[in-house]
Amino acid sequence: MQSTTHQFKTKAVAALNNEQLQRALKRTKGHFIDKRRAAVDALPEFDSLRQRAKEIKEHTLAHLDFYLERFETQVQAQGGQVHWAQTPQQARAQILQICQAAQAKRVTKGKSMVSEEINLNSALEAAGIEVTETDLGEYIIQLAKEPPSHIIAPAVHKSRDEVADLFLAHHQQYGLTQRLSEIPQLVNEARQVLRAKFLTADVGITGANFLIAETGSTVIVTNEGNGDLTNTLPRVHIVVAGIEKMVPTLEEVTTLLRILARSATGQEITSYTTFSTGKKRPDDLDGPQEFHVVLIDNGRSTWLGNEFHEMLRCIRCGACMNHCPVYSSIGGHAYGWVYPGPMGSVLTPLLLGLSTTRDLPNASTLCGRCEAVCPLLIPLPKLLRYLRIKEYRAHLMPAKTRFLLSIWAFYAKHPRLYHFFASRKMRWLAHWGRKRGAFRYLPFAGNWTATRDLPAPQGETFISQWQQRQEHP
Amino acid sequence: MMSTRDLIFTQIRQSLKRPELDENARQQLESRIASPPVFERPAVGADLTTKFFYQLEKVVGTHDTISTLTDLPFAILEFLQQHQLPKELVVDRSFQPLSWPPRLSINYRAAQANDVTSITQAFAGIAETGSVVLISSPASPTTLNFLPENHLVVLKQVDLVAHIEEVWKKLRLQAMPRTVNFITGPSRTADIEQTIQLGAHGPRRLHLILVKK
Ligand code: SF4
Repeated sequence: MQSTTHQFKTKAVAALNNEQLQRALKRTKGHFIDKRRAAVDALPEFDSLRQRAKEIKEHTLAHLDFYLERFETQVQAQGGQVHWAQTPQQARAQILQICQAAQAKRVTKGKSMVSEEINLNSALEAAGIEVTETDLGEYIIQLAKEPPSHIIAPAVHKSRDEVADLFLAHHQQYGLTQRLSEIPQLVNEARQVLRAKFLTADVGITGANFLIAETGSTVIVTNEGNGDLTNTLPRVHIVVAGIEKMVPTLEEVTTLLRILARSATGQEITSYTTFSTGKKRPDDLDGPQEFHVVLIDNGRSTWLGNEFHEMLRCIRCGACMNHCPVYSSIGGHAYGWVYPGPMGSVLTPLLLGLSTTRDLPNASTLCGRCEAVCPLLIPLPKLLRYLRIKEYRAHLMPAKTRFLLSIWAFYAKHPRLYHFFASRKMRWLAHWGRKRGAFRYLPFAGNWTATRDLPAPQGETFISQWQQRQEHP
Repeated sequence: MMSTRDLIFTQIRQSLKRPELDENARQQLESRIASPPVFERPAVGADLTTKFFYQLEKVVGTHDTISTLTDLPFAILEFLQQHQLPKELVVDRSFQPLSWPPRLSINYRAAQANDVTSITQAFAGIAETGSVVLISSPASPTTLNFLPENHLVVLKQVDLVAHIEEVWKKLRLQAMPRTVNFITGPSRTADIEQTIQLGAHGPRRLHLILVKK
């Protein structure tokens, strides 16, 4: 999909004023947080499992070449093929080629963020292939021609009324005559329409939550079962996955599974966890005749060992966005691309470059809630800070910001001067703000005070208070 | 010219600041795979069956217990009657030796669009999560697990294990099947207004029959 991240500020403001979206965000927020909390509280081992998970991923990344090769050998041994793509263009071309070789007219898809990252659907559609997203949330936003607004609940911003309108508009061709308004009816309607797609698809495309070097298996976790109909019914199964999805063994995947669902939806395990290994065996009565795995690099191999290395541990659980005050206020669309929330604010600039995405790492108070809940202990605020440093070094900041920052930096490097001016300013602000207790407007900070008040300080800086306490304990 | 594959591997090694691993290092990683590290597991308690049923009920699975496999056809008939389902089944071929009452129409094949009820044999049950594990084979095609609206899974008591890791031990004794399905309750979605709805794409009902002997 095309990025609109350069419009982040405008879109964020529009999102704040969008009542319908605000209602949806409110509805979701507590839901994910409470369920995760309950699941984590019920597993005393959770924190040690997070540490283990981090170790597993770090071990794998340190030997990524070995495990990727081993995975490839195993897939081939089971009659499958592995394809390598360095860029989104290469990945799209390979997938299109597989589809065309199979003379595919109809493709069904399971939810896959990396397929959005490489903009797969439009490439297939341009070649005259019908592509149907089969995860209910993905299907809804496909009808609405919108990008996902959450990595695990892509249509979380849509109300049942909007879904009802979409189905009425798009399902008349399948015989729908009445507007359905209840959730069970809507789910059932999607089930009927998509069932027909599953049964007639030539190719099924899924993502992978994990790739297993030991067995050459790809793993998907779903609740709906759409991924399984996608990888079982069509003649050809294509798996698209980033190279960082690798895990050495079934045991280690087990540890990651134990923290994934708990962090994502608060489930102990999803309804379906499926391990696909190669193509249909000779005597099997169903299953695909071809099994392809397209492994996508798209810059990931260059992050190995650099300051963004830790982002490669991400298992796309979505906990960071569920707990992010910025995401909870503006939703996923304002981020303008595939990956929203804190993980997106790190990934999007890495994947698309900072010049059009520089607002993302800055749209954070670095409050640290994302890092506190990330099951892989990824220090997201630190990575956002690295991106800000990169932005500064690349001279991407507006001149005014750079100028003011350089003045601040001068004082910050001269503590005595800093303290001298800071204490003057404190006293001055305390004096003027005494009556109301807060400032509605401050010169030079009009933008900041336009939407919030600044509480008036007490009149002393931290350092002077500290010194007084040391002297009179 | 280097292939894309080679370019990716070259970049990985460059980023990791080391050449391709030598034979010795590769051997070490191979033996790590052969005896993988096992980490903390959730407590399950001594009574596996109780825990298993408790977990299964939490995800809205239903269950029944029979003493021997010969009782299976009757348990199935009862289920069909209770839910007023047609007496037509797609069945895992391993149940062929059972004596099925003539009232039931039994098919041993992959599932088709209009099949309403399927019967499969679990490779294992997991007390930790309330999951059943189904593996694809000529006798047990994967479509049986997903196409029909009612999925009945038969689990032998001996195949009930405490944790997921025990499934791997058992699975390594045979060739890796095309598909290993961990199934935990019926199909569900919360994609419209976060409201849980059963029967999104897969079965609306998951019914487990535990066979004591
Ligand atoms: S960064 Fe962490 S919390 Fe966010 S999606 Fe990735 S693994 Fe989950």
